Amino acid sequence: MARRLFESLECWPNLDGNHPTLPVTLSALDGQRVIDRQPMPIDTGFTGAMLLSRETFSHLERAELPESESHIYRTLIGPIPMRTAHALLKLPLADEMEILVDTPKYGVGKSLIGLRLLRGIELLLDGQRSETCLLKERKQP
Amino acid sequence: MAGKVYAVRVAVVIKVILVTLVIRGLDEKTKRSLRAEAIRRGLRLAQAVKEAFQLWRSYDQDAETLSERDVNNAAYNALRQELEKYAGKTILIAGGRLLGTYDNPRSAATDLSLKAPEAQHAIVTTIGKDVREELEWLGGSLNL
Repeated sequence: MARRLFESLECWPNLDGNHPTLPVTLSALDGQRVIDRQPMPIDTGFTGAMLLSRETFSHLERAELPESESHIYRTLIGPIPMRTAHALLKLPLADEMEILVDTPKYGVGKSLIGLRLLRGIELLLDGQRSETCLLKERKQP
Repeated sequence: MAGKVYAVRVAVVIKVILVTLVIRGLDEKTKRSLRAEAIRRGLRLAQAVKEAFQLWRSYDQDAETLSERDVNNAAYNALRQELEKYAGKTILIAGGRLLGTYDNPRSAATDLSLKAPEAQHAIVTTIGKDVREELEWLGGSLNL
């Protein structure tokens, strides 16, 4: 396999020294800003796009999916039903995109970035420097 | 927090009642038409009774315990079969009513601001695309 070279475009310190994070900006479909460049932890074990706390999700209730179409997550402790809503996400150095966000139907929830959001970006989890960087592949000379 | 625990208990109680419910004195004609309507909508009898009850409650002005979200979901459930003809379109439900069909969710949100600016809750879903997904959540952050 050919070697690939990447350059880091921007880096952010890990949350509490060990949780990789990315700053995210989240808006409701009508453009109302809900989160503005807030560092959010990355959890590659969560296969959805983004999990939100109940309080943050409450700002997105004007574009919620029907309960019968909302996501369900299989976990070690059994299935967890979610409330799911449309939202607009802006990651650093990327265009705004429409995503589906979840919050647990029961419980207060928490905010994190899931695996589905990482599909379209190149990311470096730098443990030695305790930071997370967005990368861009450098063309071979 | 206590309210959330209470909500879980209510859900369990309703399930038990639906399983053991016996209706005495229901005339044959009503029973037959209820069964026929459930079959026509592709529902089990218990689901049909549940949807009918939710819809009934949504029209009850005194039912203060029913949230905007409950009303919108009841309306969606009642319209579900009919909405299949809008496959690929985004539909908007607010205040228990279908407000329109759109090319995408953003257009629906824009129209919601015009047609029901006071709504605290609305259903925006693309028929045939926003279908229930079962995803995985491994260990990690699994403390809700």
